[in-house]
Amino acid sequence: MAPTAAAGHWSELEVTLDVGELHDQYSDFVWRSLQRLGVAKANLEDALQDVFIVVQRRLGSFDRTTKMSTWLFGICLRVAAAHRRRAHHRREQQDSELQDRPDDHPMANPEQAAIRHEAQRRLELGLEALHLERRAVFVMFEIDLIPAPAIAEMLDIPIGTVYSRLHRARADFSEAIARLEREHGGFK
Amino acid sequence: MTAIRPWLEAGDTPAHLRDLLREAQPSEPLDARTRTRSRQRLLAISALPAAVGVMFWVKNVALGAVLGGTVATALYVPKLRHMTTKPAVTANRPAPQVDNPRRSRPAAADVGVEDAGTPTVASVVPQAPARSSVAALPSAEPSQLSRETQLLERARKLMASDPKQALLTLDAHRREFPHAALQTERELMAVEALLRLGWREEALRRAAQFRAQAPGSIYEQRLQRLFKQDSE
Repeated sequence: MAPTAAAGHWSELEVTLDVGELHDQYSDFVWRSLQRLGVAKANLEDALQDVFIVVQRRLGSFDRTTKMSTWLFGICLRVAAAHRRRAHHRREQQDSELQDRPDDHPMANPEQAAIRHEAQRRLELGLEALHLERRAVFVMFEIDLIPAPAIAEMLDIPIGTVYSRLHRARADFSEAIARLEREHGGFK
Repeated sequence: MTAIRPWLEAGDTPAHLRDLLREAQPSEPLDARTRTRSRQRLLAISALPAAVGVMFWVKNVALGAVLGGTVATALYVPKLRHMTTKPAVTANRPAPQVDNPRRSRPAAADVGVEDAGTPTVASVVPQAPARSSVAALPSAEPSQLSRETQLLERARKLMASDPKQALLTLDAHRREFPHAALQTERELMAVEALLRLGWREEALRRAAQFRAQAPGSIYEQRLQRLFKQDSE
């Protein structure tokens, strides 16, 4: 018997844990979580694999009273943190990635494209300033537009925690953007 | 608690923040091709820990045998020696000699025929026999695969924080195991460490060797990505 990805509960202790099945059911959740935690596009596939290698190693010690998605998200946090540390050493990589990102506005002229590129760069720098757990909530709520109760359900945290993380994330994000504007000038 | 609306939908959001968020790209779903590839790679890698698990099991059995053998040796060898030498000893030495300082020395010479038969407190403490019996058992050595795994795991943990030390660990693995079972994994990690250190030429050279030794390896795609990331 296998759990449903939507619920993520392992209520029956006799459920057999299989890393292949977990991959089938949760790889999309892990993939999206890694994006929300700021793993660069070029590294996503490696990070996805890193997560499931950890899953495979630690499956035996998984506490089945907790929610699978919560456990997976915890692993995503650690993997993303490792990638973030690496990204700090390779700042230029992120810049090039932004440059390589296809412009989905077919009518955009070079000037508009430059403005969009600059906005995306600032957005990424603002997100970089956030603590990872807050970043995840912020991205889910503000960018993926997932309702707060659904975030609470997905991460298995109280709704109040969602709002408090969101509140702190908003403050940190606003402060980071304001700092960027002071240092590099306002938006065009 | 009052429901909060996303900044994009709220009326009082500062314009510059709303503009920024408009440029944000929502998280993308995992496409089927990447999902399939990821699953295949995962299952390919899964085979290795299974083998390592078996080796650890074998290692534990071997260690159990060593410990059991040690205890058995400690308990029975002195008795055996005592039985075989008792007549001569009892004829030469009056017992007991509890506080003889020589008894506390664990040297092998201390368990010679003369001393072993003496019924003192020190003589029944199995220090010297146990030690010599462990040294005599070749199965006390850890298995090659578990040792290889330990070294590679150490290198993997060092990779992000200290690639140079990771590379040194991988070189130690290469010296210790010229015909390693985990040679492919080691070489892939070595290429990554070299790239992290900025030694691209050396990484290219090692990758060429890697490809020659393991053509069509399941790690080929990962190798390509390493170089792609490094050149970006």
